[in-house]
Amino acid sequence: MTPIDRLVHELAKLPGIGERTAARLAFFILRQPHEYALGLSRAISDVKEKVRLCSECMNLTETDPCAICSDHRRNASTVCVVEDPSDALAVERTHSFRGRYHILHGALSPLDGVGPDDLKIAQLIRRLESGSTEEVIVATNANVEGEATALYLSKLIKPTGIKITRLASGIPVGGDLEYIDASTLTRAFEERREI
Amino acid sequence: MHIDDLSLRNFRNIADLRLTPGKRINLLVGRNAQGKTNIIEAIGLLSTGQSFRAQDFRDMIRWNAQDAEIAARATCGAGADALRVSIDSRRKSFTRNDKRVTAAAAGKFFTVLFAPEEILLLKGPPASRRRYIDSIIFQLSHTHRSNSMQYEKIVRHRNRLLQDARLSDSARREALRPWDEQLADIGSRIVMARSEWCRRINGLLPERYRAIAPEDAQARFVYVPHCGANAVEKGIDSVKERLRAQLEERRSDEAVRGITLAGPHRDDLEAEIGASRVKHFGSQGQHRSFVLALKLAEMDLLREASGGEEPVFLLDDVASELDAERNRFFFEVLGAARGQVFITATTDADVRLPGVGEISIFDVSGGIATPRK
Repeated sequence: MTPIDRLVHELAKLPGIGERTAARLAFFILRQPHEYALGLSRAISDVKEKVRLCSECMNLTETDPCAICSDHRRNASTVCVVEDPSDALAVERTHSFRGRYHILHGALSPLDGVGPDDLKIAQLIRRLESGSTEEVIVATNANVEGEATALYLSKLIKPTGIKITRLASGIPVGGDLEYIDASTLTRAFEERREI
Repeated sequence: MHIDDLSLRNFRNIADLRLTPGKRINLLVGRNAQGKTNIIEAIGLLSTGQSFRAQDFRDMIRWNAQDAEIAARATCGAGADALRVSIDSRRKSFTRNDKRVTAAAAGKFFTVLFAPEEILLLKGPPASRRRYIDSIIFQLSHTHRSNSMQYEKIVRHRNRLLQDARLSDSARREALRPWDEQLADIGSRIVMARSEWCRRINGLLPERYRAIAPEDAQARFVYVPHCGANAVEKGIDSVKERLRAQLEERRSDEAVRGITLAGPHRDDLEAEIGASRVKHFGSQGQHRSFVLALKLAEMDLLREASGGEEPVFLLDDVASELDAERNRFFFEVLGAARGQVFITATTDADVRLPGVGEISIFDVSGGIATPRK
């Protein structure tokens, strides 16, 4: 196998990349200056060597505890539980949540063979037992797997007396009612609140 | 509602087809495997976002072609729309007037499909009757469609847990709990929707049946929810409660059989004429009359739901399944109706259309439709 074949072979393993795209990428890399290839390979190996899980919240981090868990201005008594690091980023972008996170790294999905032991649930429970958490906000996805995970967590956490809440589902802010799909609007009706 | 023109490219056996149907009755005549049903399927897909031949959508792409496309101009009361479905190896995508829309919002026109296998609707397994009632509700309620998709997934997740031999009994119980809760929640919504739409169909069915079989007793299409009709009468909360209780009751059975044994995926519908069930007591003739009446009631329901617009009727080779008398009756009704109708048949002789004025005949052969003068 030539080096090019090897590179194409490895690139083609990436999600969404087929053989043809992999070949294009490989030739692109080949045409670049030497530093580019070195920089890319170093970035790839750094990702594996330097990035690990925060021992508190299980988010991806270079330092342990991560920047959010070691930020004392953040409210440690509220924990927002999300499926993936990208979900925590999405909540961060709102700038409206000043508590901490817990990353489950997935959701319950028997069809994919994912059970509670495959998620960072035990770590969450340990954290709740030892810490000063007053509220857990479950922000898993609004699909059947995310909902199952939320229900499972609520079952586990309720007996501890810690408040557990679930993100509301409903109409997007600034959204016109007429453009909202019927299921979302139905949920919004059910979860309406008194004003 | 009607289709003004239709074009198909690389769709199943059709390389390139253009059809300018008439506003009333369109007869597609041709030998078997020439593409007649594919035309019907394409119209159904534009309307509902789904093919009535429930297989892999990739099969809809012509052999050796990269992608397939269905395009049509459809007119409803509000005006004409350009509708398009593009199918490639990864997905089906829908546009209306060149804007992307979801499959559920694809067609703004309703269709009533009548395929030969539906003649056996009352004799077939309960699943075919659930599919039938759901396919009607899907056209009217996107919520029901998304609930059904979620429900199906919940049952599959649940079944996987029930079949997982590595789980101890208590671990399984724990693992099932969140799925039980969702099954009861989404399941109760499905039950209520089916109940409501069956009620509306039963407001229309007796009259249609009486016209076919005047001497017979009243016809009803009775919803038989697995959770019991009593719970449904008391409302959604009691259905939810009942579903939870049933899952509890069947827990040990479920563990043995490895499948979910309670929920709306076990519902059935029964045809009744007077006090007797057609499935057990009906004659061949009654079966056919009932299904015929049901189809006409479905047409009435869709018309009612769309504020008086006629749905498009798609008849796939049904004439050959009906006897002469019912054929005559059925085509008389369609002849007297105002909507657009597509009928496939192997010969003209299958379809008796007495006194129908506007009729367009197309000869379909080798994936090409030629209008007959």
